[in-house]
Amino acid sequence: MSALIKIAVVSADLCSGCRSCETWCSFVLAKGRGFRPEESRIHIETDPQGVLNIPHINCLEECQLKHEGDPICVEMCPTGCLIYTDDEDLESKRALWEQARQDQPLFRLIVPWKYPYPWRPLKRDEL
Amino acid sequence: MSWHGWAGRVLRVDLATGRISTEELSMQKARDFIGCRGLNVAYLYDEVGPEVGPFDQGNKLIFGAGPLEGTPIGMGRVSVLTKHPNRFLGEGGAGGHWSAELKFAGYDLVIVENKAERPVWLLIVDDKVELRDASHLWGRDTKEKHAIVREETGIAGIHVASVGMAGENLAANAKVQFTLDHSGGKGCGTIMGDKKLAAVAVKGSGMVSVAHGDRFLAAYRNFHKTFDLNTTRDAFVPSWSFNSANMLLELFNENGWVHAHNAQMGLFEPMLNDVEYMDKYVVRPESSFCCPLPACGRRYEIKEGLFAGTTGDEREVGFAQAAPIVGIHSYPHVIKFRDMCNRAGLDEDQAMYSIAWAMECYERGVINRSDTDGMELRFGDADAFLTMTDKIIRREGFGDILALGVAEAAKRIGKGSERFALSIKGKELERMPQRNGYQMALGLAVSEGGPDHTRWYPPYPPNPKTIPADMDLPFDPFKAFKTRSPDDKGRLVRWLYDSRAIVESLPSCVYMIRAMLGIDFRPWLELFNSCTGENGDLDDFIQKGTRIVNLERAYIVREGFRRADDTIPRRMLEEPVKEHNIPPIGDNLEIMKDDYYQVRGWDKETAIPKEETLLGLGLGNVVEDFKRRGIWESTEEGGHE
Ligand code: SF4
Ligand code: SF4
Ligand code: SF4
Repeated sequence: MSALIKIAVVSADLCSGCRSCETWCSFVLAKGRGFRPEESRIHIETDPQGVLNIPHINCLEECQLKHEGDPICVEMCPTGCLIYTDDEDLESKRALWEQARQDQPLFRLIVPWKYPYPWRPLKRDEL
Repeated sequence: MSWHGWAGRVLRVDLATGRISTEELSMQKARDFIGCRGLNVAYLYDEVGPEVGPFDQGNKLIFGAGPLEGTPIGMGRVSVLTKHPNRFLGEGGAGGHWSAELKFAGYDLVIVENKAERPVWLLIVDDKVELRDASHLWGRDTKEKHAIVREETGIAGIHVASVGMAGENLAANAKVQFTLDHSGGKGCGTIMGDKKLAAVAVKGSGMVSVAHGDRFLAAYRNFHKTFDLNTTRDAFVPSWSFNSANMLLELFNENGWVHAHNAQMGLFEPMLNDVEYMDKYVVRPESSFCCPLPACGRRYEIKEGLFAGTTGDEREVGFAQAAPIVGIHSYPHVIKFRDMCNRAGLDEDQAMYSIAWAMECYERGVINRSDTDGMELRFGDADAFLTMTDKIIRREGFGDILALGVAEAAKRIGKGSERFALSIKGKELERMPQRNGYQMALGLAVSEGGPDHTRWYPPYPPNPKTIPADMDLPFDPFKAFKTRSPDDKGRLVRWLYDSRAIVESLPSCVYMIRAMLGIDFRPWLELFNSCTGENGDLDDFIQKGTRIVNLERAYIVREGFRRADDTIPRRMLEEPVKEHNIPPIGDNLEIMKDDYYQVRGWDKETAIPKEETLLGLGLGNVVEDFKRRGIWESTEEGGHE
């Protein structure tokens, strides 16, 4: 039997505090009538010194708000801090990320599976 | 009346009487000027005329959000506007979350009027708005102010705009400081300090309504493709996010744009490579509200050694740009400098260019130790740089003169030092290198808000070869994007100003205007229409940008600014970039200005918009105002530097 799939946070260190997740979740909950992060099922708490952003997830385990397989909060998360998966995969992704950020400091900012490195290199004639 | 996008409400706060009121937003103004930067100037034009001096009771301070603020397009952009101490438009944008919270609280604009007798701060939590005593906040740095407000209100997610010591002490271009190292509005901090408004804190829990949700979502997904590292066709998106600091310094070096040693040189040795920098200082990502770029903003920290424990957020490429100007090769000093400026609400550009000017004066023997409180002031002396910054903040000794801004300081010192005071209309240049490129020179010269690259800077044009042939562009990209020729710059710079005025009024971050999103405005129009329920076409949309810029021009014209004020520092006009053999701009500036004014429908002699131009944009009120004041008949020649 496969494990339960739900959204999870890879690490608070990857959260930029952008609140895309909060904002889009509220939009879908309101059936597209508007944006109201207050009503969202995920909230980002920024600690008083601004040192860390901590996502708090209060949604039902099975999200109803999916788009092409991913809930909208995951789709819109720019860093890859949020993922939609089961416990086992989450653990292996966490280990993967820990390793990646040791090897390449860019992965302090994003996850490697969302943005496989290297990206298309900068071509001067495209500037 | 039901509003989508716009909250439909304006909050007015009179600091002299303590009266707080709300009124309905003018629908006509909203349609004509969109929001944020555009709406701000529409209100300022009507309410603060030339008879009001910058430090008079009657000057106002306006904080504006726009119709798309609070949606993921808004990115927390706020525009702050006032009559600058030097009488032009003291306007500036900042990111973060403040403005999104203002929309959730249900306001498009906050207009602050008159002055308080004793320091106060303003609290906005939805419909609960109150002025509170700020005697315990005054004199504290901005980060302390934020922390005290958070503690006092018990609202963890509250966002705060505040002034620091630079604003309280009326430094010339003090800025407004927002939570988490966002800041903007040079000169607005000065007026905010003058009004004794210590802080404005805001938290909202309401909804920003969207007229057509499905259309908006589809338009957003389309927009988002430009910023997703996997789908972007803009080569700058990955490099911006991860290699910015030194990759850009390399690019600037190659082109001779760097302002090294007060722009005496066009080359500067990089300090660390990107991986080393990232490894040493960057801790994690930190973004504005719903910014789709994964890592434009990052939190850095000095982990050990000198200034250990200093943290901050970096957006864009501040480090690459700041260090060359004063010639220092130490990241810890640059980081510390930024932290000092953010805590004091001191404009980094004012500090850097004033100190760089003083260093040049010192090295040339124009000033000596008897002027500088006994200090040696030479390029590359990182400690002296920080000491002088602190003196500016405290207005101590020589710092008191530099706090006046570099133009005024040069006037006081004289002896030809005006020649290397890098400022326009009384506001210093920016860190953003803009040396001797043609569209850069024109863009800088004609700005209604002084040096402010967000109004016109074209750093990410699409490759002309990738532009579809059937696209109807208001300029020729093959000519216009060439930085070393004056060809077609009038039409290009007009487009840049108008398009950016739109994006800053929606608002969105100007870094979003890149590649095709910088020239094809249909995606922006669809976002605007689907959100607000408006149904104007593209021409109508672009015209809003043109209207905003014309009203901004009308504002400074009414204050006495004329063609002669649209200029750039003599160093750029007259001196080559030696290392690259790049000739100075010289007479080409005046040629490009002729071109620009003509394309704009402004009088070439005076830079005043013509009657038919204003009428064509629906600015009949300005025409009446100009007639009443005899603006077209006046023979004033400007000369505001
Ligand atoms: S999984 Fe669905 S309900 Fe839960 S936070 Fe994400 S979008 Fe909202
Ligand atoms: S979208 Fe991702 S990075 Fe942004 S606040 Fe949510 S979890 Fe953090
Ligand atoms: S691109 Fe950078 S400056 Fe613009 S909103 Fe995002 S984090 Fe802020």
